Amino acid sequence: MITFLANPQRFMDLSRWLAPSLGVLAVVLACVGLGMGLNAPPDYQQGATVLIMFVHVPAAWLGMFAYACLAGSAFFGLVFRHSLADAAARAAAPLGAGFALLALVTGSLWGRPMWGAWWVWDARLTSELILFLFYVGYLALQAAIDDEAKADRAASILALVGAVNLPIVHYSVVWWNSLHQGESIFVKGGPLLSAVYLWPLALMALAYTFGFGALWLTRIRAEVWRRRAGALAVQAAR
Amino acid sequence: MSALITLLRRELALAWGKGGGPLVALAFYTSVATLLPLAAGAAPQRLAAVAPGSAWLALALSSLLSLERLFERDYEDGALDLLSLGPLPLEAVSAVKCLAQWISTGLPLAALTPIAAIALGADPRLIPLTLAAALLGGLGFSFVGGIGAALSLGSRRGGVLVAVIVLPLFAPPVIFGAGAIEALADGLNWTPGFLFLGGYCLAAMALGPFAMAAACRNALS
Amino acid sequence: MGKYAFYVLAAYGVSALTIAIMVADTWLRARRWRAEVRRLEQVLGKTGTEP
Repeated sequence: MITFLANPQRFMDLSRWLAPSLGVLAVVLACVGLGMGLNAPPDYQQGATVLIMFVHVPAAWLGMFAYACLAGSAFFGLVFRHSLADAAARAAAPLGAGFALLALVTGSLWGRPMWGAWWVWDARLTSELILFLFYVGYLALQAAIDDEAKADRAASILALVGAVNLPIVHYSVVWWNSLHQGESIFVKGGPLLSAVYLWPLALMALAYTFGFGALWLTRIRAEVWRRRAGALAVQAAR
Repeated sequence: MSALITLLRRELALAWGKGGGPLVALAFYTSVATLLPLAAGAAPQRLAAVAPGSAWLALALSSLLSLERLFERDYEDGALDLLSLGPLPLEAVSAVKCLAQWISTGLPLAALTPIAAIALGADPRLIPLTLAAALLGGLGFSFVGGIGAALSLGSRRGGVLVAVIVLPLFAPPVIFGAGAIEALADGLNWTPGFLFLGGYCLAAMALGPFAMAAACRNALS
Repeated sequence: MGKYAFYVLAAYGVSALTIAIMVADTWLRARRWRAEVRRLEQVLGKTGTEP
């Protein structure tokens, strides 16, 4: 399938209908998910703030999923030197960074009523923050190198280094948190979700994922056109 | 093997020769360690609580300083080109550079770390572990930092860019190293943290050179 | 919702805004470069297949 998609023309043909379809699907799923979620009874512990979960958890999931897409594209770009893979990496990064940032902000808004603090250094939020910093490093490196091909390659190497580090970062933060378990008054609520919340959450996560797919494909299309425009502009200047 | 030694000696000579090399990093480290009580207030208990961690953080930041020029000097004057054509593979060249950086800068900084920790009020019995962790951590910082230095070759932003790339990657060794020292300070088992730190640094030494060589090749192409 | 209304609304608002910005940026970017390609293809007098 990868070699099938690697042909730019075939990718463009496929994404022309796939991107909008995923977008529509995402909107439909989000409507259903939110409909179910907003009608669910309030959690006896967290009250209405549990509703924030429906936008926080999908955003956090997407932050990680987008990074996986970024790292995968980077890998293909480095190994096979395919410009479509480079375009895919370039396209995924800003979206992933946006979702990661959104996860941090919504996490903070969820934390304030629940734990009384705008920010806590618990394992999940800290990992998400470091993930966001990985995105920033990637985007900064890409922007700082003028030669596009070199920028793509350097950024791809960084993306892979980051991908290798992410599980280590997550583990180290979890370990660090476990050291202070005795002092911790911030207990993350909600690991036991009843089905009433689980279904809307799953639907929202799916909606966000399809939405990311639609946006990612569209951005890759934009990248393909941009590079084609660049090549054509060189020709037209002759 | 002799090529490796020659390169190592060259790197060490360069590190100590120009611009006072490690002295700048040591001065930076001392300044950071001095600013901490000025910023946090000199109350002994509060300072002592953050002493080991802060000494560790200052170590990470000081390592960053000398990393900037690790590859850049050779890149700018064409020496990196020659090295890439030489008998040693770029992976070995990168490893030797990082090793030289650790010997010339990391070791002195590691020696300074326990002193700073004591000055900030840490318990003296923490010294051996702090020293060992600083030595090991410095090695990790050199190799991971080298990746950032190699990736930003030929870029416009230089120093700050290396920091932005590399500091999130420093998170695991900082967590493990400082965590081990804090565990000892609290009377808990310090070995897990220390072993994780060692594992991370070994992995950085094993895998880092490949990333650095790929980045150098990219910049030279 | 009572006292939590502010936080819930803020979270949903920020999410909607961020997603809207991502959608808008993506869409405008795609439109812009497709138009640019079309323009250049016309200039060059090419009659290739539509992307």
